[in-house]
Amino acid sequence: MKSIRMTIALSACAALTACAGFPPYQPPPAGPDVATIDLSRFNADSICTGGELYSIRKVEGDKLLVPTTSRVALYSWVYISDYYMNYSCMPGVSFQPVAGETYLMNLELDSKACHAEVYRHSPDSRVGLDLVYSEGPPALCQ
Amino acid sequence: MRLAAILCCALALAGCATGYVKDSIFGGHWDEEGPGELITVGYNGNGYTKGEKVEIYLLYRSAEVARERGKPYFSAYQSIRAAIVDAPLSEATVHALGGKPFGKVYIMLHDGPVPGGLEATDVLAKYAEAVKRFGTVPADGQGSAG
Repeated sequence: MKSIRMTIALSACAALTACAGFPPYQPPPAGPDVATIDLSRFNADSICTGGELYSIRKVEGDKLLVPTTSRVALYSWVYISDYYMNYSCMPGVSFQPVAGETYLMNLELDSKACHAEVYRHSPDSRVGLDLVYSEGPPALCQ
Repeated sequence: MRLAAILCCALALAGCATGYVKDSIFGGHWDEEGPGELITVGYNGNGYTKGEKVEIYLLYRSAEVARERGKPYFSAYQSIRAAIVDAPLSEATVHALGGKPFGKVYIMLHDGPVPGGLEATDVLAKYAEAVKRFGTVPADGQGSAG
């Protein structure tokens, strides 16, 4: 039992160390080949693009530019403290961005889980959004 | 003496139950703009709030928002996805964390009736008595201004 606890503790330390070691994300320069992700409703802390995982440290105006040459995955870590009970989850989503489009990331919570959602901005509708084909994110960008 | 202490405890606990009030550390309703023309309406209960109250408060607050903005009709959606495909709901779904119920709906306001839509005055009339019975609402039954 003691060894199991030690293994879990070491794994957690290794995971946290790995997270801290992700290189910071460098957005591509604005241009016709990039897409924009609106993070006003989703606190993304890491991004997977081109097969590499990066940490997101600061996003100007909640707008993140991403390359459109490969699928993009965004991850967050949600922690809710309620006095004597704490809840956490790690929602994420991956999709193929299209050049020139703007996407909205959204976080939904329910009793048992949290969900990351992505929508494409669509100014023609009153909701202002359209559906995007998305999948769960690859674990650790693999 | 013991009875007085029990009564005090009961009163204190009753005071913890969040009524129909604007959101605070004890819970309550809130609303925010977006996305698009949607308005997000939510209610956070506390450990003394029953889920059925949250469902009623969500629809009641949604109707209040519609009335405050001069729109007689509204559609309520469980998610942004449901709003995009225009699949409105008739009853709000309530979740709970640590025994504290919470819920959220996205509403779209309308000038006229739409399929699956709700009439604000109907919702306010239907739930005014329940909201008044459960918690704080002005005696005229017009609800809080949020």
